Amino acid sequence: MRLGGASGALAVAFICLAGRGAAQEPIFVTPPVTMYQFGAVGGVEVERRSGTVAVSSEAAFGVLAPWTVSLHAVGIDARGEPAQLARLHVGTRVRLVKVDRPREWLLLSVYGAAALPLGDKADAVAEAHSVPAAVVGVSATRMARRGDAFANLSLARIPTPTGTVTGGTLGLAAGWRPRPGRYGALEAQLFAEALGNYVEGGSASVGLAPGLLVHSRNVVVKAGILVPVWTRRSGDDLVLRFGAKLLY
Amino acid sequence: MLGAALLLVVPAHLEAQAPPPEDSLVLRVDGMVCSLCAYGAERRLKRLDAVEGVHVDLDAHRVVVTLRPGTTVSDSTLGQEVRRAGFALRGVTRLARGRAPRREERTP
Repeated sequence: MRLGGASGALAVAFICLAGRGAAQEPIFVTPPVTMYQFGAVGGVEVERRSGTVAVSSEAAFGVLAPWTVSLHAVGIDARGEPAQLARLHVGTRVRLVKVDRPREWLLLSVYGAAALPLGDKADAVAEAHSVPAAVVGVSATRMARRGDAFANLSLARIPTPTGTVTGGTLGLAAGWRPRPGRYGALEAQLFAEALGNYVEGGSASVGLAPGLLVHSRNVVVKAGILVPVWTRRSGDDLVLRFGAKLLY
Repeated sequence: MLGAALLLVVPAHLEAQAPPPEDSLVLRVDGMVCSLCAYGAERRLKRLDAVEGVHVDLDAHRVVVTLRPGTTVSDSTLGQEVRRAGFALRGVTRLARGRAPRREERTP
């Protein structure tokens, strides 16, 4: 089954949206970070592509340091249509491995998210815009004072008007803090990201994304642009993403 | 004369036996690389009743914990809170006002 046009393109981005629940993160690639115990993070992300705007909000809570649960809502504002809620995902992330070293840590985690039933109307919007019904993934990182590296592999079940397909996304990202700040100071981090996406039936794309994240203590603001550099039977277009998060 | 000498000697002897008052602790924490990481450690440590203030030094990978007067907190409790923040406590140095570091212990 082939996804074409805007539907195929949106599948790339929305696969990445679900299952984040962290603040130390690239703009597009899903990070492996879990919240500290009883810590919470809430955030909003706005993503624009080809006249369609997806707004997602997420709240995540650290049950234990290695176990985070999250709730993630996606709304779609498409050209010529009223803005509508498309999906409400409940998700979880479990940290499998963490190695702490002075000014460095390594982390591997797995995650999953599944859509809660919201009725036929929301399902129709989600299907029209290829918002996944379920996502599973594995992600890893090495974080240090100056440079970070992230890798993520996710699989998603994507209902569409013509049937449900499986899509996979591989994301790699490198982050760099030009001037690592003291605790509480404003700190900027630059990202270079690469995302490869394949949807069952042969639709595929590769995109590159520069990004910027600025944070101070517990507030995060970020922006990035995903540029398609190769596509096959996919209508991928530029993707702009902005987001803000607050840790508590 | 003997009584006056005892008054001077006994308090000094008692002070030598009692643990010095702890004003602050320096925690060596592995894994903290940015403010967002450290925020969790600060939040967890501030949950402890004995803790008055927390100061994070990311470059030195140390957290200085100021205690409320007359209180103390065990290494195991500190280690637990740091673990709950997602990091590893490697050592605790206990400082008393006007004194050199008293000891450093390795936390398993």
